Formats: sequence, structure tokens, C-alpha cells
Amino acid sequence: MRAGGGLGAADLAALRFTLTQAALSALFACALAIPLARALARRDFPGRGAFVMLLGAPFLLPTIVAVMGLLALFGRGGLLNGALAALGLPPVSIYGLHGVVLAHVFLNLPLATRLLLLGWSAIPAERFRLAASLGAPVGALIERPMLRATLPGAFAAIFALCLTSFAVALILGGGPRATTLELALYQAIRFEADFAAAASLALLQYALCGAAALAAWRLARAPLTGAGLGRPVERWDAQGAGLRLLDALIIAAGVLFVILPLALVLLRGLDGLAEMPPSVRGAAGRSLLVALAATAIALGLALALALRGGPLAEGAGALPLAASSLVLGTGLLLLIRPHLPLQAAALPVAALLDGLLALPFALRALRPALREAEARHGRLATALGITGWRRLRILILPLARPALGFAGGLAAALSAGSLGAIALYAGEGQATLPLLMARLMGAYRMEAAAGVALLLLALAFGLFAVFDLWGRGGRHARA
Amino acid sequence: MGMRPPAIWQALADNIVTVTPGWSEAYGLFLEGEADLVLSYSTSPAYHLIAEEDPGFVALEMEEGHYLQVEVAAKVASTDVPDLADAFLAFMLTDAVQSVIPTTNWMYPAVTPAAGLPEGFESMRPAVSLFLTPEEAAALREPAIGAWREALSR
Amino acid sequence: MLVLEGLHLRAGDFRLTADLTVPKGAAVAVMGPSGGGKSTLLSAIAGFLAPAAGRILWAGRDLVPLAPAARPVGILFQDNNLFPHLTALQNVALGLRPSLRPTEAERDRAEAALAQVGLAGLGKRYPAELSGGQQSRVALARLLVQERPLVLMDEPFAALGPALRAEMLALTRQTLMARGATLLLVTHDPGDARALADLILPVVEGRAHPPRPAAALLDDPPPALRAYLG
Repeated sequence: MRAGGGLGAADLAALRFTLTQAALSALFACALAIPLARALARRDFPGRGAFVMLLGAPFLLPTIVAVMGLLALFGRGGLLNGALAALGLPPVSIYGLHGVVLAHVFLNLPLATRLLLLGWSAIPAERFRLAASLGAPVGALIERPMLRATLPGAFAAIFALCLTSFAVALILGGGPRATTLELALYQAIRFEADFAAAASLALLQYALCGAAALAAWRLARAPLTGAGLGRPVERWDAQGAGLRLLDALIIAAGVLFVILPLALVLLRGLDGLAEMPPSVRGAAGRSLLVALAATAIALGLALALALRGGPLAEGAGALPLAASSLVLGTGLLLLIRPHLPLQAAALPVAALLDGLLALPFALRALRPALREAEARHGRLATALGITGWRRLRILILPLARPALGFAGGLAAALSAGSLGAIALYAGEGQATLPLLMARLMGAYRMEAAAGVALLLLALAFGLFAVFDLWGRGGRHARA
Repeated sequence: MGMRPPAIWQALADNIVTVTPGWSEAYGLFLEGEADLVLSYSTSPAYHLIAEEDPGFVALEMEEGHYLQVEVAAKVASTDVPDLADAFLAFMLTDAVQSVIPTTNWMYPAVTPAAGLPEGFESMRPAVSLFLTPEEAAALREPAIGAWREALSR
Repeated sequence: MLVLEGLHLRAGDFRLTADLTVPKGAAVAVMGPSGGGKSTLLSAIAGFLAPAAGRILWAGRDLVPLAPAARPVGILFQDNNLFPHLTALQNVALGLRPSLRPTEAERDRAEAALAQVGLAGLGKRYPAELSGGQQSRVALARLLVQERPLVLMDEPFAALGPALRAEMLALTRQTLMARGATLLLVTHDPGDARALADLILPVVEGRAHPPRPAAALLDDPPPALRAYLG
């Protein structure tokens, strides 16, 4: 198939499929996010805050759980086909390129919506008032320029995330015709132990993802935070009954699309909770520890890079977005192997890896907050002789607390849900929740696995909520 | 062998719902009703029969035979405790251990227990078992996977 | 005595030169058109802008090599003079020592300074819980405890109404000036200058001129300043 690490025809096909599905996924996610974000930006309704918070959920979900949720809705035995059959209509198949794109839209539409929503909430209320008093069209005057500034970054970010997709692409793509670069990498490492081929594939993927990640980094000007998602701005345009109805329908569709698969995961998991083995406690504890360690690593690195500043720091922070966790994990373990038994290293490596993978998101959230704290109060602090560690403790950290909370929550939740390096090398008695779930599935115990998936979801959300709420509880939030 | 493998795969290709990263995802989809057939073990029906008292699963028998998957316990040549290793291997072969393997690991034991195999293990045992040496398997793997990928990529 | 000796400042395209002396203990209004370089001048004295050439001497010592906090300078900006996440007392105590946990003695001094500016008992409030005038008083209290001999103010009370501003200027005079501090205050208001300042230091078209007695200068402004004063 390959010789000396060169790229074969199959690899080129994988490259083509990888690019196609990522581009289509990013396109649809962004296109659908525009009406949803606009509706959320200009309408208030009970549960709006909860829905916006829930938009973070698919992003934090372990892939296989998300896939199962989607299949329960769109699969051959899913709700949609059940309804079609009841109406006497032929079934639709989710398997194929469209299935891959659908899954990626489910996973990333929320991210796109939040990024665009931030763009909308960053528009000062005065502009809408001005437009209203001038009778000027809001779309052309205010919204379109904002979208022009925000959309390319959202597109590039989602494109980069979809480039490293493999389980979703393989399962929903219907097999080898949906081979992505990441899958080819997985095959080269796991089945063929062909590190030369893996290295050339990894380099190709790095180059691609690096370019996309860099583009995302440069283009995305909106900070990634939970700020600005509070109440919608009062609007004088868009008061007509038709537009209200349209927005209501869009929001309802968005709620259904995001919440139904999650609810199905929840339902499946409830039955399985009682089936979980006793080892679930230890696994939950280890997951929690790894998540907290990963959070500390991600926040520490993000703080150091953000304080350091400069293009080098930005590049370093964006890099993990380009990396496949498989490649990073294998590389780290190959480095450690001569010095430590793999089993002893598995948990610390998992934490380090999760921390590194969460770094770009943490950095994106922290940098603007730190910059603002410096811009507003830096000179005063300097004049008062508040420097070094004291400056961090007295000035920077308290003022950046909301961003710290959000970034920490994101890192913790991403880590709790990730299988990471540990899946490959963890020994007996080292299982985290995702690994326990995989093992239960490997032992016919699908119900128990669904229960663990639910627990995992609860842990990821709980961690996110605790950190985020801590961040919002600061003094600064009120001042 | 009749048809060549590429032709067989091509004929099958439009009936294949999907391929997953591992067995457990595929079996999960199968149990969720996504597919009527799944590539699994001939002992899978026995699991459902014994653990869930559900007789509704069957393994299809292939006339060419079924490949054996063997899991092993062994003594490492460089061990410092050879006596202990020998004692452990001897223990592994006792009836007490061998008799629980079918219903815990869901595989055939190395030594048939005195009480015989549980229900489902004898009745659904494939007639022909195939076994390839590691060298044979290594030589076959690349062309076999290549043919499979080629046929299913279309 | 503050001496600006052959001072050349450069900030982007903007240039400012200064060669002048400010006597110790004087209250000096820094006046001139917007964009003339008033804030740039203050930035250089405070240590936020390194001069391209020249020296800044205080009591005979060159301040240029010193970090902002090491200079004998206290400063108030146009805004953002308080940290929003710290109480009034903590904000004041920062002037004594950069720490969030003031000692008993430091607390007492901060409380006394707050009392001196009329905010006795409000030390536990956060800036958001204080009015604009009260926030200015907290910042002034911090300048008091800092005890720096040279105080720079860059339109510090511009956001306050005329009555409040006059009150703050009077308070500044009573407290800071009473203990012999030298004050450089940027202002646009001739009334403020008359009320507070002994001297006026005109900054016009990239040049800081030597200070002259306030009343005389306002009564008979030089041509460059006349257009600005209207």
C-alpha cells in the first residue's frame, strides 16, 4: 500500500474526502448558525439562558455518545424513520457524506451559533437605536459588516475541528469510502505499526490543520467567552408578527436539533444507571482527577502564553488545534517509554494531553480578558509598583476571573469526555469513565455503557458549570 | 474458494451499512437496530441466550470455515519467578477456571470442563475452524485489507 | 524642584520638546490645545514613556533610569483610577504597599486618609457602589497615603460636574498642597487654573513652555494660547 512513508492513491482519496467533508460541514454549520444566532440575539423567551448554555453540550460530548444520540434520532431504527414508516413513507439512510456532515453540523452548529451570537452582542445598543431613529436598514448597515468580520473565523475554526474527525466520519460515512486522514493515521499506527507512513500522514495533516487553525486564529476576532450572552438587545426593527413567527420557528428547530439527540442519550442512560459495575466509582474519581490536572495545565500554559504575548505565543497556542490527539498521544508515549513503564505514565500523560488539546480554547478565552485588564489598569498598577507575581495576583487574575472560569470549565469538560492516550495504554485499575464505557461496550454491556455515558455527561457538565459559575461570581462581574 | 475476495466484497458492498473503528461500536449499532447482521463472534448468540435469556440471535455458518481468535496466557522466558508462573498456568488449566471462561470471557475454554459446555456453545459451534500461523496471517494481511478497502471505497 | 533639561519626547509621529523648571511646592496647571502634548509630557515624567533625549531631574536626581513606581511621583489618570474588584480601603492601601492584605497600621492610615477626604466609614464599599465624586475622593486618598512629593493629574475630575470638580480641586489644595507637594494638573478650564494654580505651564504645538504666573498669563495670554483660550 505504501512504501517508505510516501503517500498512496488511497491516502490521496482520504485527503480529498477529509477536505470535502470539513468544508461542507463548516459551510452548513455557519449558514444555519446565522438565522439561529440572529433569532437568539433579538428575542427573549423563558429558558433562553438555559438553551444558550446547553449549546455548549454537543461540543463537550464524547464522539461515540454523540453518534449514538444522532443514530437514535436519524438511524435506521431511529425516531425519524419510525415516523416515516408510520406515515407509509420509505426510510432515509443517514450513512454517507450527508450523514458525516449532519453529525458535524450537530457537533459544531452550537459553536458557530455562540461565536456569531457574541458578534451580535458586541454591537453596542446605541447603534440599533441610531439605526432606528434614522430608519436605516439594520441588516445592511450593522449586521452584514459584523458577519463579514465574524463568519470567516467561525468557518475556519469548524473546518479545522472537522479535519481531525475520524470516528464520526467512518461510522456515519459508511465505511472505507469515508476514510479521513485521521483514520489512515489510526490504521498506520494501530494495525500496521508503520511509523514512517504514520509520520508522513501526520505531517500532511499537521500542515493542513495548521493552516486552517492559523486562519481561524487570525480571522476569529471575537473572544471565546461566556460574556455577552446575557439579555438580548432591545430592537426596534424586526417587530412584525411575521418575523417574530419566523424567529420562533428557527429557535424551535434549533432547540429540537440540539436537544433531541441529547435527550435520547439521557433516556438510554437512565436505564443503564443501575447496571453500572462498582468500578464506576473509581473511574469517576480518576476522570475527575485527570480533568482537574488537565485544567491546571491548560490554564497555566494559557496564562503563561497570554502574558508573554507576541506572535510566537499565539502560534504555539494555536498548534494543538492542528494536532490529532492520536499523534500527540503516541508521540508523548514514545518519548516517555524508555524512562517509565507505560502503565504508570498513562494517567499523567492523559492529563497532559488533555491540557494541551484544551490550550487553544483556554488561550482564546483568556487573552482578550488579560489584554483588557492591562489596558485599563496596567499603568495605574505600574505607577503603584504592583509588578511580577503581585500584579498577577492583585490585578490580572481577579479581573480575568470570568474568562478563567469559562476557560477552566471548557478544559475540564473536554478532558472528562476525552478518551485520549489512556485508551491505548492504560492498565487494569486505571480506567477513566470514557475507557470504562468503551470496555463495557466491548463486553456486550451496552446498557451499562449508556449509563456510564450519562454519568460522563453529568460530570463534564457539572465541571463546566462549577467553573463557569465560579467565574461569574467574581466582584468584577458586578462592577 | 469460488469467487475471488474482491468480487465477493464488491457484491457485498451495497449491503454494508457501515464500518466502525472497532467491534464494540459495530455491535452497539447492531443492537440498536441499525443493521441486521454484524461481524462478531460465533459465541455472541450464546451470550444473549445465557446472560439475557434471549434466544433471538443466530450466528451464520460459513462453509469455508471460521477463523479462530485465540487468547493466551503464557510464561515469560525472562521471569524471576518461574515456579510461580508454572503454578499459575497450572491453575489456569484447572476445571474451576476453565468452567467459568465460557460465561465470563464468552469464549471456548482450552480444556472442556467436566460438566461440559454451557447451552449454546455446542449447538452453534462452527463445523470448520480455520487457523493461520502468525507468518501466514502477516503475509495475507496487506493484500486482504487492500482488496477490502479497494472494494468498499467505490 | 523639577527640571526638564533638553527633553525630547517622541510618540509615533508626535514630538515634544521641553526645557523648563518647576519650583518645589508649586501648583501648576498644564494647559494647551488637545493633541498639543500635555498627556505625553505627564507620561514621560511618570515613567511610561522613555525620552528620546534629555533629563528629568527631581531634587537634582535624574528620574529617567527609574521605573515608574520607583519615581517620587504619584499620578491620577482621566479614568480607571480604581481597581473595580477591590474595596475603597484596599484601593487606598495599595498606595502604601502593593499587597491585598494591609497590616493593622496600614489599615489605620488608609482609614484616616479616607476620613480626610470625607469618606469615613465607606472603606468596605466597592467602586461600583460609590458615586463618581466619591470614587475621585478614594483616588485622592490614595495619593495622600502615597506621600509622593510630585503629583501628576491628567484631567482627573473631568467627568464630574462643575460644582463637584471645584470641590475636589479645593480638597486637593487643602490636603496635598498643604503638605508641600508639587502638583502638575492638566486642565482645559481657565477657571480651574485660576482657582488652583500658582503657575501655568503652556504646552503648544509640540513645545512645553516654562511656567508663568497664572493670573498674569490668563489676563494676557501669548498668541499661541489665545486662540485656545478663546
